Amino acid sequence: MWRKLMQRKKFHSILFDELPDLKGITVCGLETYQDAIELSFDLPTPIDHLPRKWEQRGFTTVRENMEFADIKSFSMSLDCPFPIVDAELQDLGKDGIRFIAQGPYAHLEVIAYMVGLYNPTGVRFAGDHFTVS
Amino acid sequence: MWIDVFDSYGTFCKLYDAVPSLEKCSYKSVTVEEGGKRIRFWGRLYAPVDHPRPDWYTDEDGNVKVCFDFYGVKHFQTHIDVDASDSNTELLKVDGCVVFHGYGERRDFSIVAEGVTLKRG
Repeated sequence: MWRKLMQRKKFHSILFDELPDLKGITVCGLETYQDAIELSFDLPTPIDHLPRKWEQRGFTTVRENMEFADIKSFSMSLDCPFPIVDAELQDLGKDGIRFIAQGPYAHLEVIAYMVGLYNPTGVRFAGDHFTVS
Repeated sequence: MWIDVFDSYGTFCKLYDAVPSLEKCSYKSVTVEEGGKRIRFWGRLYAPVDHPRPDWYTDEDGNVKVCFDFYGVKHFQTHIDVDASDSNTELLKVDGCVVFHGYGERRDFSIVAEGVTLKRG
């Protein structure tokens, strides 16, 4: 399901020959709203085709920004900054979707009815503070 | 008292003749920043201010919007179900760390951090 979501954003297919999975991602930030959650994380997969704008600024890593809406439940635990986790996006049919991420220092689970993906941003390394579109 | 746990709280105490109980605070959103080193809780204290000030936002009923800004976060855990009720919360200093703990029907959270500041929401 993750790859289907990525395919909707053409920018991903410019960056990667083969769309990466969600293994070894670095959790960077999260924001909850009334009924929605925004999550940002960095992909460990090297970029196959670096955009010139990114190359000029030393950006080598893809930061993804996902939004979950119509939240059913949300749980998270965090014991160190920028934790590395293996994640999965599951289609629950009429019950929506489930995003689950697990690592030695963090756990994250979101069950929601809708999920969306923004265009990725570039960063210099996983956990970098600076981004560019 | 809970207000004494904050490193700083600006002019917050000037809003009230007596600082209200933390039980009157309702949390609307949370942001996890810097990979989890910094966590902010945004909420509203449902206790009309006695002395409004331009440096604090209040709603039409005089309730003040607040932000608890935790830094140096060592542990964070939360679980929220849809339609969860507001939580009962406590803010303490334990062994030099700030401990923020909340629990309610189908909702809980806890934070252990180096410190916290109170800001306008």
